[in-house]
Amino acid sequence: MMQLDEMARQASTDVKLAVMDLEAPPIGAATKNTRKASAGWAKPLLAMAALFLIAGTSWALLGGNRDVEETQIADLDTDQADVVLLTHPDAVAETVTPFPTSAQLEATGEEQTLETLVFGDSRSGKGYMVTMFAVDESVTADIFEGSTSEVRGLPAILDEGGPGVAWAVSDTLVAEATTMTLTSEELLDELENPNVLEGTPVEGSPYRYIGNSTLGYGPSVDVIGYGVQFGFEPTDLDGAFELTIFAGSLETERGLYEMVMGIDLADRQIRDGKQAYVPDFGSQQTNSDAILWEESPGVVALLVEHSADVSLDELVQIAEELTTVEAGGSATVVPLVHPADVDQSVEALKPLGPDGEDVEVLVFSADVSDATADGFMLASIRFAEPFTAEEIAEGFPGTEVRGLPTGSGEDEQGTFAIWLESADHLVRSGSQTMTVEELLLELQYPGLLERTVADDSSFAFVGSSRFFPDAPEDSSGLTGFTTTFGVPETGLEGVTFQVTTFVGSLENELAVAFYRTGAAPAEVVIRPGVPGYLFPGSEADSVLPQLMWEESPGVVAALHQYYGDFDTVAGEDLIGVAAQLTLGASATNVGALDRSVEQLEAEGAVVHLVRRFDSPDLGDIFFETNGEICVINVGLGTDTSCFPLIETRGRADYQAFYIRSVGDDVEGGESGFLLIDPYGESPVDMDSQDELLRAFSDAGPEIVVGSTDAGLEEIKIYSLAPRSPDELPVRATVRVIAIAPLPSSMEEEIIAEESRGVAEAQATPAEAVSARQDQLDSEGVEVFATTDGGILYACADGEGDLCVEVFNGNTPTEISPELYRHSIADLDSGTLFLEAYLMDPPGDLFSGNNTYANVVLILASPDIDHLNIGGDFAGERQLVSAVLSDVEFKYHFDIGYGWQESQRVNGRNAARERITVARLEVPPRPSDA
Amino acid sequence: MRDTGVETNYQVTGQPIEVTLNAVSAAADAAFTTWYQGEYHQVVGLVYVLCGSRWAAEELTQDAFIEAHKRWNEIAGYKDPGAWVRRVAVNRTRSWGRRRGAEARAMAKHFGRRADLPNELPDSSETFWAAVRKLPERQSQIVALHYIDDQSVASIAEILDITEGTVKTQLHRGRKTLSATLGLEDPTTNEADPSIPTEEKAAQR
Repeated sequence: MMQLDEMARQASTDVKLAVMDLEAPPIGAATKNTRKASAGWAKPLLAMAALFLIAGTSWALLGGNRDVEETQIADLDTDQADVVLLTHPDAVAETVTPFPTSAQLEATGEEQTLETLVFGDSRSGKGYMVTMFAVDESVTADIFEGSTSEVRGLPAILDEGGPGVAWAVSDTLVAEATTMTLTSEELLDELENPNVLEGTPVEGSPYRYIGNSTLGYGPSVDVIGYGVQFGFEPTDLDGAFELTIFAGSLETERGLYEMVMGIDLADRQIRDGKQAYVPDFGSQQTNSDAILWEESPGVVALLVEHSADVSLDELVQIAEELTTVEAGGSATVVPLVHPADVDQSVEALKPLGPDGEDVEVLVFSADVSDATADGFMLASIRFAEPFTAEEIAEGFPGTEVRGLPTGSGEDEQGTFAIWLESADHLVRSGSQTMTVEELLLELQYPGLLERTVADDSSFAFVGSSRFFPDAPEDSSGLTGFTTTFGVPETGLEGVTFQVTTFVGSLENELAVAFYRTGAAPAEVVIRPGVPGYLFPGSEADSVLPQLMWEESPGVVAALHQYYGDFDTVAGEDLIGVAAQLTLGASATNVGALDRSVEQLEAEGAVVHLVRRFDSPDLGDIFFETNGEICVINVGLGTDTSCFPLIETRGRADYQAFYIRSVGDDVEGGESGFLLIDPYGESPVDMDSQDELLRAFSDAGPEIVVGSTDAGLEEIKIYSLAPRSPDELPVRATVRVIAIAPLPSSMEEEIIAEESRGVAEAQATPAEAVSARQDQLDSEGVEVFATTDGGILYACADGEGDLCVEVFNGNTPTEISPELYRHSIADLDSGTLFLEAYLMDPPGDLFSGNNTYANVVLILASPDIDHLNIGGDFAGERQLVSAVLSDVEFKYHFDIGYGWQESQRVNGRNAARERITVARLEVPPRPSDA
Repeated sequence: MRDTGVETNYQVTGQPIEVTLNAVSAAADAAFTTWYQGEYHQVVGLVYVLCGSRWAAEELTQDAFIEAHKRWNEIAGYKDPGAWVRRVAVNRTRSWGRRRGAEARAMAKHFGRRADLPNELPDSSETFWAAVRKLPERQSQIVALHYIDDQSVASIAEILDITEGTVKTQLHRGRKTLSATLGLEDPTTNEADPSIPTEEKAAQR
């Protein structure tokens, strides 16, 4: 028979071989490059951008060869080639270049067929495009004669996969500052081969470049510019600066700057009184200086100093010099990406701003979508006092505000309102028409709309509707709204679809999709006059077919099957579904979770608990049927798990179930103990494969659970007492420090007791305890507490240890105090020694609120059920009592705890408690049997 | 700009945003890259066998290392940064199952559905790791760390923040289950269950 280790070794080797060739994606270097090329004060935002760069298409671009390699395997349907080019959406009509299927090669005069084409965009829709394709031989710019692209020669980006070429669609990335002039080709060189320009002295200038010149970003991240680092030549190379030039609005960038940095910008002028801003750090000396100004209309320049030795005045002076450009050297950078009316809106809001004392803070939400493409903007504004929607709308020309969204509210800063600017961009999904406000609701409270089912539609929404508040890493950077739905009453029962509707340009999205999949779409008809584009998908690449179309002007829809086998849905099915999606219908609320509950109850199950996740279509349902406790995970695609219900206890106001699971259980542990009460639910793990020790209190709301796995290590006490939802029911965790054999004299009695059955509680002679207390008092020994069965006092040597004496049965049995003398670290035999952590009030064990903690309980005796020890050991700790009757490690013991009002005992504050006792009846461990 | 870590918390639209920029020095960045390149394949293999999806493993692993890079200034000083990143990776894998439903919807915008890659492993290996994934979660993590990552009991305990005793116990049981499930022989499972403490054994008489 094959041995386990042998198979494991082989399986491990196979895995290692499978991952051996994986390329570790760049993390450190890519992040660093982005940071270096950026304006320093925009770092936080750039960190986000860096992640996008790493994971997104930019990485492919910056990485160089990957895309080109992919071109070797991509099939191109040249009939569809006219849809694959992209550029800034606003300029699509002007710059789309029909893909040439063949080209006249200048060198040979021969007609050659182009083999493949791929393209990428660093930040699609932002006016920047790089196209790469491989041909048999070198290609000249003649290929593109007649297009609107300007190709200034071939930058000769080649790779091992064959000859290739790259060019920029426009020259708008060229930035000229001081004496630096880069052509788009040089920029491409820099992107492909960073540092090409590094160290280049600037002719006739006191500066030289000392860092990477790469793409730079403005404060709003989406604004792409061009950044360079430079320093003084040759005397002061430590004086390093970074200049970023990008398209944008000075005022908008200023607002974002202030938002990011949390500081104001002070007015400053440069050159002919041009408006500029510098950060007003006040007394803060920890930030680098910077200056932000409008280099030319629509072009913002940002200069940041990297040296602590440069004063602000010097920095301004450098900015003055930098702008002393050669004739014709004005900067023309990327097109504006803001909606055209953003600046106008900002201007309109100004009267409400600081000058008017009405608007306290005006920011554009950077986390969500600060000024993303195509007129879609999310604004966040705080008002010092309430405004009506109409008043706000007045501040935003062209904006329709249909009442303050529900997401608005008040906080310490006043009224808080968020809305989307752009009344035209209603997002439609299926038969549902969403208003901007609804979209906001979805954004603020994900899942609210997920329960929507169209009344007179054949569709049912079965999944989350999700707003893309910021661009997913794999998206084109646009925002959108995704809804998952099913088709319950057609030939596609059980199939789940997903439609994403988002604001954008169809051409752009097609281009991105083409780039992603490498397959050209086929044009189909969604509805009369509405063309769609069907991407066939690739079974080999596990990419399902997808249909895209323009749902309404500026709104793109993408439809595909949501999780399923490749051949479940044909392209025709997608077209049919898409055709129906635009049927209008009103909406009612039904979520998959509630539907499942209804179905279970109809089948006779008793639903005990519905645990909702952040979506009405996601959650757990705990129900009882056929003597089992079952849990079904709705929306997560997991199978229903059922566990034998061992015990159900509880009172009218709470219930508890003890379940024994095999393998995966409700929370991933090995055993589950499920508590359900009106104050919350607590499927808890004890990380045990053995039976859990459990005790239900008849009188109180406590439940004691102990794991015997790997020995008895931990006991938890749960309380089902009323609590707030955010409180944990864990009342105490008792960690068993050690279990040691009982003294031999007690063992005999234990055996005798066992022969008589489970020991019953016996009366403990209070006289014995009292007499012992008197004796100790006379000796000047501090007695902390006495109980029916024992006495707790300070050990005579004054070392701070505890001494306990236990009186057995009706006969006072004095046990050597030394036997029960313990410190936490010095434990000897004869006890079940527990350390209890208690909280008052109950709360998080590790939150630091457990001021009453570290209580030591000691007892080992088969016939004393209760030893209530009260005391104030450390003067600041409250003692909890417990009772343990350990019968030779078969886990017959009682545990109780509780406390009551403190009282003065022996001159000290002592918490003397009356405990509630629960008896554990635990079967012997299999190993004991 | 000075190379100092910048951590910014600011409030926009009522939702807290935490943006962390870790500006590490060139030397530290180089150190990270060296460490990252050295650890990457081991970690991606570990995550692969735990989640069963190679593309997900690549993403989860990258996420873990990105987290490591963000905190590199801190964890570089750890005795074993590898243990840290493994713990992050294992935890992310644990969450992955529950999150993947929601995330897939976000990811599917342009991709359509990207199913798992076809089995890349021989059937016997696929069967073995599938059996490992069916173990209780903790056991599967321990077994994976033991076999695919060649970690010692002490290292596994450190990575998973549990006691060595628990590691031994769960490994013992995991092996026992695997042997039974796969019909394999495992001489070690004939040994005494390490979950029974020595003291208890002494008491069993």
